[in-house]
Formats: sequence, structure tokens, C-alpha cells
Amino acid sequence: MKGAQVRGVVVHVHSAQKVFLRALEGSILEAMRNSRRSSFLFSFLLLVPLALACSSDQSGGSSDGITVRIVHQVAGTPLEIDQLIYTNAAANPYSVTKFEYLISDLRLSNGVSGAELDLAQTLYGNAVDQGNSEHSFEFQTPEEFDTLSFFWGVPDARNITGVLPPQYDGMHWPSPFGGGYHAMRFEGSWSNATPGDSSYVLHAGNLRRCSNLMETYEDCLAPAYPIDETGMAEISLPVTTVTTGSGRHWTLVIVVDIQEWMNDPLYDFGQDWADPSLCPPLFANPPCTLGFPTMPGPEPQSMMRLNAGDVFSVTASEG
Amino acid sequence: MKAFLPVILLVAMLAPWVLGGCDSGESGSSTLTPETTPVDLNIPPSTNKPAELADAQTDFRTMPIPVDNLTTEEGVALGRRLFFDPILSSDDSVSCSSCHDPAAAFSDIDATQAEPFSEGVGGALGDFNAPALINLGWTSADPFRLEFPFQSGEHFSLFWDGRADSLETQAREPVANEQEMNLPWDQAEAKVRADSVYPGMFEAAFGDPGVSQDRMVMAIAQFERTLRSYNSRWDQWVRGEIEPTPDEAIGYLAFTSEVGDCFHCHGGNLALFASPGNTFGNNGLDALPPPGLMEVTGEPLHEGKFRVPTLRNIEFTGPYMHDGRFGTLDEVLEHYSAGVATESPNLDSNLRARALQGPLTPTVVQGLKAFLLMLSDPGFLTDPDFQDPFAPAP
Repeated sequence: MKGAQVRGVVVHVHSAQKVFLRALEGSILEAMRNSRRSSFLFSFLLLVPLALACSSDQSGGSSDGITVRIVHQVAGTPLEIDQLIYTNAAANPYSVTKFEYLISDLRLSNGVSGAELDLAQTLYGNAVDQGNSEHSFEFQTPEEFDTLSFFWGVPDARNITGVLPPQYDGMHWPSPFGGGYHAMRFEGSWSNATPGDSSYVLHAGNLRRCSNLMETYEDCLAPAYPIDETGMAEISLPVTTVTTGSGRHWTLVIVVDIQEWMNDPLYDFGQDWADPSLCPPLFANPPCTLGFPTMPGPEPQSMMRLNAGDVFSVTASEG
Repeated sequence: MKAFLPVILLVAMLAPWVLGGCDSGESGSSTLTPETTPVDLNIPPSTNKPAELADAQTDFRTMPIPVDNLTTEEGVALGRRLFFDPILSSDDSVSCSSCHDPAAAFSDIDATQAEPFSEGVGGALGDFNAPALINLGWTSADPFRLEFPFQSGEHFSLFWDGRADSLETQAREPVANEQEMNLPWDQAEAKVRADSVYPGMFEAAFGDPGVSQDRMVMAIAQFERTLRSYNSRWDQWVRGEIEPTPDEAIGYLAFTSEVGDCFHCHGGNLALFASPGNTFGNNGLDALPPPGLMEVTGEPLHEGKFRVPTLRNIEFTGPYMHDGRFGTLDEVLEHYSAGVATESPNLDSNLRARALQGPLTPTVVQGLKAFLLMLSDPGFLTDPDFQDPFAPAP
């Protein structure tokens, strides 16, 4: 069972195939009417696998399987897009206009038996354009699990530009910083008494290079803000024992509380970087702040990773 | 057994087709026949990429071509002729090329800042500045989009307001549009059917001489997929053939970082210079913008958002923006430096945050312009395969 793969759920049955399958269904009925029972059964046994072959990516029903539902909240309440109604722990009033992210290596495991069940290698979340999302997985093998884990972003070893399919190109991370993919794009407006309404852009990714194209991170930055070389944060969440197999269906609800990105350590959009010398020299108007820019900044990158551990929670229920 | 023998035979014969169709559809085509010649439109990856671009997405992805409209030499030849032929307009005065001239990288060569909209039959004006047609084969809805790009669950990729989801769909509109070619499709079919040349070309491309709207848009889309630009100075840098100038290098750095912050909309695929995941955006042209994508989706969060165009050959495709309000690249850069309407609804947050930092430095502006000019591919404008087949031979 260790490292077992299950399939995700997407339905694609071409219309012509539907017509064909309906025709086969008609043939079966005709055979039923005109032949012995054994003839019908033989036909049925031949045809069912064919039909399933074209629809087995689809389930989402209540049979064996796991549904993972991802829910976006702010301080425990459902996310409202583009509304300046939230206040973070640093007393910054803020809105959310974009919240996109990647999750990798979604996996159930059992700390005692060592059993693992790989659910998905990469999941894309978009709280604004797609809202809460739901992903269904099929499996048959009976097993018990007590932990749900995943990687926020793409693990460093795989975080290479072009590795993911083309639909993820929009999440790319610029080559001057080392390439790969954004772990998160969290954006919106925030209200600052002086000079007034502003924007924040919390983008998380790797910092394998600094911003002068040629030098590696180690070559050009002081080690005051060490970045974990393994990449983004790995999240491990205990769950009520999930027992798979024997016709059981489980629903795992992952709550993403956006407010938690700013709580511990305290994240103040208007705060200057502690070391202004790290602000890229081509910027028009330093100082750099924790609200913008964030991509070349070891301080905001480090703080986002530290905050990641409190953002996610999960509940599991059967049914 | 006799009663179900026909069923078994039917299953045996058609199972490969049924099962084959279960994948994303790599096989089967109505355009690829023993009589047609397939065309490979993919661009080989660089084998000599310089170290400073090692982490960039510089290679062209595999072009996503519809399985029911694979590209063939015969289909492209037919599409090219239709593209340049005014027969598809009501008074034989306007062709696709009237607004999409190869000498202007398939934008409107007659458009100016003062008169940015293209003229259709009878002098009717369009609603937008005609966009350039470059590398459109890579902008199809799938597979360059995530599953649920918008709340409607639909895919949008072409026209400034995204109302067409494929080149084939897009090609249906201008012929019948009263502001453009103003010819109902049934009349277009009749005119083409009566032509002495076309039936033979349809037979070569599709196996029989039948003329239909579907076949015309398929052929035009095939021709449009061949309009590939991949030999700019940028491409030559990617291939390790040249070194960038200092200005170009600064421009690339500003482009691909939050310094200029161009890449969030125009990056992602630097072979395309448009970002597949951020196909639409509000770039702050107006405090009270036109509806843009909202016109199509009805979604208020899409107000003011327009399709992000490719930057390839931008030197040749002015005037700029959906309404052609800027005549030069200098004006465009001045807008992004100090002209962004930061109060515009749904303004891209990256752009707003950058704009609130203050104007770009002269060094950055100079670098960005140099980098934009690096995307020019003069050979694209003069490629013999893209020229008017009715023009006299030089």
C-alpha cells in the first residue's frame, strides 16, 4: 500500500462515444429479448469494461473514495472577494482580490503502520475565480490513516520551470529568482492612514538567485534571513482515523484561513524591510515594504513560510 | 450465442475507437487523409540556451491543435487564399488581410492613433483596434488554461473581450459582422461554391469539393496556426546565438521582476509573451473603464479587463491597447510608468502596487524599450508563405 496511487476525478466521454454506448445498450436489450439469458450476460460482461474505460475517471459518488473539499475563509468566516472588510493582526484593513496557490504531494498516511496513500501530485487553488474546490479520489484497498499531509507550493527538487503541464505556466516564478512556480499569489488592497489606500502583493516562491540575473542566492545576499533550501513549507495535519475500503466514503475538508498568513509572525503590509540594502537597486522608490515587493525579499519570503503552518486545518468525516 | 454475435463483432471492431477516444484525443481527424500532407508546427527547443536563461520558460510548448482540424498543406493553402480573398465580403472590397496585414505583423497597417479602428464594408468602423495575429496557435483555450478560469466555467481566449474560445470560433465572426465583411454565411458559401478555383482546393483539403462555413473557418484557422514568429533577437539569445546589449539585459531583468512587473501578465510563457494563466487584465487605462470581459461573462469582477496580447513584434503593431490610444511604445511605457489609473476597478494588484511606488527610472524605461524591440522578428513580416497569394510575383 505504501505510495499507492489513486486516480482523480474528471469526466470526459465524447458525445460520439455516448451515442455508441447508447447503441450498445440497445443491442444488449435486443439480445436480451431474442436470446437466452447466458447470451445477455456474456454481452454485458464484454461491454461493461468498455463503458467503464471511458468513464472511470468520473465518480464523486458515495461509493469507495475520498472527497477533498478546500474551503477559503478569513478569520473563520467565508471569504468575500474584493471587500475592504478585514483587519489583520497588524491592524491593516485589507481586502482580497486574488488568492491562488499550488499544493503538492497530497497524501494520507499512518504514523504507526507506515501506510501511505498518494492522492494528488499537484493541485491548483483559486479562491477568486473558482471558489471553494472539490477533488474526488477512488481507491479499493482497505487501510487506516491518521495524517493528511501536503507541500505548500512545489517541492524544491521539482520546482523547475516547464516541469508542470502548460496550464500551470501562468503560475511561473521568474527566472532571475531561480524559476519554477509560485506557491501563492495573495493580493488585494489595504488601507494605510498615510498615504492612503494601497495594494499588497504577497507572492511566495523560491529564492535560488538574487535579482541581478547571474549570481546565486548565496553569492549575493547576506545570510540574515536564511531560506530553507528545501523550498516551501510542508504541512502535516492529524485527522480522525480514516478507514478506507469496503464501500466507505470519506470527506476531508481543508480549511484555508487567509488571515493566518499574517498572524505569527506578525505581518504588517506597511513595514519596511529590516535590511533596506536588500531592496533591488532598480526599484524607483525604495524602501521596500512587506506589502510590495515580496518576490525578491528574503524577509517576506521567510515570514510567509513561517506563517504557512497555521493557515491550514482539516476535518474528516465519513459519508 | 448467435443472438449476441453481432454485438460482440461490433464491440471488437469499435473498441479501439472507443478506448482511443478516452484519452485527450490525439488520434483521428477529418482533415488528415491519405491525400493530404501533414504540417508540423512545433518549434524545436533550444539546445544551446545560455546560463542566465536556464531557469526561464523559453521553449515553445507543443502547439495544441484540435484533433478534428489537424494542419495540412492543402488546408493551409486554402485558408491562406480565403484569408486574402475579398470574396468573403458583401461587396468584394474587404478581406481578413484588410485589417490583418502581414507587413504590420498581421495588425491593421492603416490604423493610427487618430483613427485606430479598422474600416469594414462601406466604411463601417469596428469597436476595437485590430490585434496582431502572431503565434495564436498557442493561445487556444486548452490546454493552456486551468480547468475553471472563470466562474462561468467557460474558456475564453480570443478577441479583446474574449468572446471566442478557439481560432475556428473566432473566424466565424468577421464574415457576417456588419461592421466588417457584412456577408451572411449562406451567401459566402454560395459565392465560394461558384468560384472556379475553390471547389478543387476544398477537395484537396477535405476529400470532396463541398463548400461549407465549417470548412472555411477550419481552413482559415489552419493558416493562422502557421503564423509563427520565432526568430527575434530574443529567440537568438535563447538559442545562444547572440548576447543581449546592456540595455536589453536590464530590460529583461525589469520585465521579469517586480521592478517593471510586466511578467505577471506578459510572462509565463516567454515564447508567447503572454501569460496563459492571466489572460485578461485591467491595466489601468481609465478610472471608469469599458466593460471588457464583463460584457461576455456578466461578472462584475471582470469589468475593465481585456485580453493580454502577445508582445512579439510589438514594434510593428501600433497603435496600442484595445482602443489604439497610444501611438508609440514611448507612450505605452509612460503609461505604465506614471499614467496608471490606480482607482480603476479590478486593476491588476501587481500593476497598482508598482504604480504606487512612483515612476520608473529612466534607466528602467530605456531598458524595457530595448527589450521590447528585442522581440521584433522582421522575417515574420516578409515570410513568403504568409503573403497575399493574389499579389503578382515579385
